[in-house]
Amino acid sequence: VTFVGPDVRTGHVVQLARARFGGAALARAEAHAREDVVGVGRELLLDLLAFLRDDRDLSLGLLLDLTCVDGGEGHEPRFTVVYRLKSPRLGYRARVLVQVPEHDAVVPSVTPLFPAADWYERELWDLFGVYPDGHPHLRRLLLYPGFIGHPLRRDYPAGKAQPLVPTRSSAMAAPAPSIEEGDG
Amino acid sequence: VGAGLPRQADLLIVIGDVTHKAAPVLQRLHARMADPSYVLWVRTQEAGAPRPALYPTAADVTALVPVDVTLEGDPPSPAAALDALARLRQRVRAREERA
Repeated sequence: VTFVGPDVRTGHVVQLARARFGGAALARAEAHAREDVVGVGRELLLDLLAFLRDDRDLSLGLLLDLTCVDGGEGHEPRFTVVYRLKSPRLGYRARVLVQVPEHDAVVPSVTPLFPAADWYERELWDLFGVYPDGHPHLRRLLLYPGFIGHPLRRDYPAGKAQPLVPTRSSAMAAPAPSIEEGDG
Repeated sequence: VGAGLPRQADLLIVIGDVTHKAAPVLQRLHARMADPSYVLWVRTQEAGAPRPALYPTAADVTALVPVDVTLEGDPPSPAAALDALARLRQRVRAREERA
């Protein structure tokens, strides 16, 4: 096991990704201490992730997190899907960003590459409405059938609830249900 | 004595928030309890603090099941917990006297 010091690998991922795909293919490339950032188009996402995972000098084999940022309505492209990878072997991380427009909120599913992405992508669909295309068994993760909308989008009203059962009106005033008492 | 079934239980303790997804389950569970039954809600918040309405959770458990006693505090103090039990005993006694 090689431990890489805090700054030794800065820019490492950016450098190798550029060498492999060409600088023009990367929408964004930033070198940070132990966590480089690489942005790509959707069409290159699977190739890039497979490269980061399999390249011997990168070994970013662990998907730490997969999440989404909603820039809000009118912000184009509206969504940024974020993949955070780590190399347990070499001791550094990378962040891969993919921008997704609102009218075509689809990303290729990375679950075939990283099984850990399974529930993250179900959450991505459930809460942000970004569709992971090719997911092996896409279902809701957290919400329930009948829920309309995607609550982590910025235009979902903060206090809007969609209860499944009617609530007892004036709950404090209502007496407990009066089934016959006295079997004590 | 452990109660194996909701039907045999006397007290339902609800701790914290209930999600909208779980609300039907909670109501079904409560409906199965034989009368007389009681509900203690551990409202994990200071007394009087407003509970924000959010997309996943029901803001108020009293709107789902008839709550007899609410225990407040974040977290509830031991004194508040004892007080809640005392209030629960009062409820039980009042109900037995009525019967």
